[in-house]
Amino acid sequence: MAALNNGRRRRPRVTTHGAFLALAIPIIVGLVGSRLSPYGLNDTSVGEAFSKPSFSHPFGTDQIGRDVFTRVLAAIPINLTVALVAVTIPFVVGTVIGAIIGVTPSRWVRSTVETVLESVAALPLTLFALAVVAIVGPGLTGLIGAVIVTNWARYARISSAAATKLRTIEYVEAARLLGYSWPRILVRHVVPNSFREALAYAYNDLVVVMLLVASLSFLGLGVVPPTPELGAMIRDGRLFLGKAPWLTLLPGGTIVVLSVLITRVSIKQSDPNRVV
Amino acid sequence: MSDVVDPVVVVRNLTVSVPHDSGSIAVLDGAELTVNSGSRLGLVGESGSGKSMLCRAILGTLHRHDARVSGGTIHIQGRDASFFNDSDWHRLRGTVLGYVSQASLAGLNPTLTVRRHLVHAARAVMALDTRSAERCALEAIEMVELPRANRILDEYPSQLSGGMRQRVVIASALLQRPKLLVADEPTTALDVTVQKSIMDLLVRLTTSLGMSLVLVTHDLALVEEYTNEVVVLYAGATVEAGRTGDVLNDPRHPYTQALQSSRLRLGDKKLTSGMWLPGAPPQPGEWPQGCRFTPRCPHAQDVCSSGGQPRLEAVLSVRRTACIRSEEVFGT
Repeated sequence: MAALNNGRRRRPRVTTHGAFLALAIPIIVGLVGSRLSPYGLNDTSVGEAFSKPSFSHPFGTDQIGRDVFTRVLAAIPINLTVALVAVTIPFVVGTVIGAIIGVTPSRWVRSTVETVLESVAALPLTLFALAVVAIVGPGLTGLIGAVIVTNWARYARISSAAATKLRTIEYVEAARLLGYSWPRILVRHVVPNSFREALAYAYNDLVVVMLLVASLSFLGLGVVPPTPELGAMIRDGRLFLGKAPWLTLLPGGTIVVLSVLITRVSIKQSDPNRVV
Repeated sequence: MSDVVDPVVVVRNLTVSVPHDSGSIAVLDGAELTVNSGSRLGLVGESGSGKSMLCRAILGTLHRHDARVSGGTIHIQGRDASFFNDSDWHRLRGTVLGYVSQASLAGLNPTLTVRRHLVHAARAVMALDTRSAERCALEAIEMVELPRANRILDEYPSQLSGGMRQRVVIASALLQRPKLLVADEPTTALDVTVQKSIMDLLVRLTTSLGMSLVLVTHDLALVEEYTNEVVVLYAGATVEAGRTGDVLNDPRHPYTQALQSSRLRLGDKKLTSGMWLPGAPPQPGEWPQGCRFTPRCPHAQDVCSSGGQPRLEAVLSVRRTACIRSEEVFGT
């Protein structure tokens, strides 16, 4: 998210750094950790199947003897990156469209786009994602695509509310009277002053989207095996819940920890008076 | 400069209407205004009397409220504004017409530095390279007497105080040395000491740049101290106009008289009748027949409520009033 901040306001830059770190650290730990691990992601060892958590296998091993800790570490960057992409794209698209309909002088454009927004916002996300994945087949592309198609409308509504307030504000009117082009007014005056609410929502959305990705993978619609992904790992482990509960509990716990972490960051980010 | 009396702006019997339901209602009807070169004119009236609309009409920015001029004339430097298109207005703004907004916070984009504001504004209207635009910005900042001009150029509006922000807004209005500065309640959001320094600055600038000033306000004390002419608006019409001292000390319209006597003065022990004006100003669209002040006027007679709003008539050579009974009520 740091790239979205134009670096012009001092306080938000600090908090955005904090938020960026909170996301970057688990990603780096996951990437580096899974490389350093003595076990490969897909190294099987049937003799060691269903080992309990121990020093050599902190999260135990699964039904074909793969080291669960290594796979969880590798899954963290995948889950977070997918969530980040599936939040960033609709955030950018939605914020710009919202800014446009917020300040456009044309009532026709405004009411048309708003009608589209209403219709898109009415789509139930999970169901729609299921439908898209059913059509394009399991995989991340369909999953991310479905999230983008449904979520940009929410961002557009939030930022259009903020931008509407700017329509009559004097610096925007002055820019118009100076003869600036609409794109320039949008980029310089409207978007920088109307994206903050949408950004706060994006931080909260990150958790929702991360959970959605995990749940769709749990349903078998997200990543394709053997790519490590937390939801898919839970799905694989659920068959052995009685025999080897660590196969579901530890990836599940990882999701919980990540969600709490992101929520903490999003609360701080949404609080304008807080400096992380 | 002040002995040159060719007017910068002349507004005659102006009607401005805004769309309302299927038709339209007039928010100004019978507004008169003459701004002489080098003069400082106070434009006073209650909220809703049309002060801001009159300013917008002069500046050609009525479109924000979908309002339009539906009668009367505006002449800017002798040219009839009804023939102006967008690019004519564009050329006039900045070079002839300058505007200082009411809320200094809303005038500046919180995400841009002072330097960017001024450089953008300078380059938008003049063909300048970056360096001369920067020099222009620095000159403007120095002109409004901000200390440490170089530091301030790199600060954001949130780092400036209200008075400093208002000075920046004035600086950007002055980039091209306009002939007329319209200041719509420039000191409303500021406390009185800052108000005084801003007003003193505006007076110094009008003198040194040979600029005229239209000061919109409902503060008669400001008008009395800082202007030499005054125009009183009531319900969309000019009811009295003249030199500030004359109008305030010896009003020739019952509304001006009521405004003047409703001011509290040091030493007033208690409110006496005549210190307030009963009733409220009529809303646009609900203006009464005849003189619009009739329902609240202590001197009203039957003759006042027939016909339309009286036009401004000359009394006492340099004064003009819209009261038909002026001579009976106030003598000659």
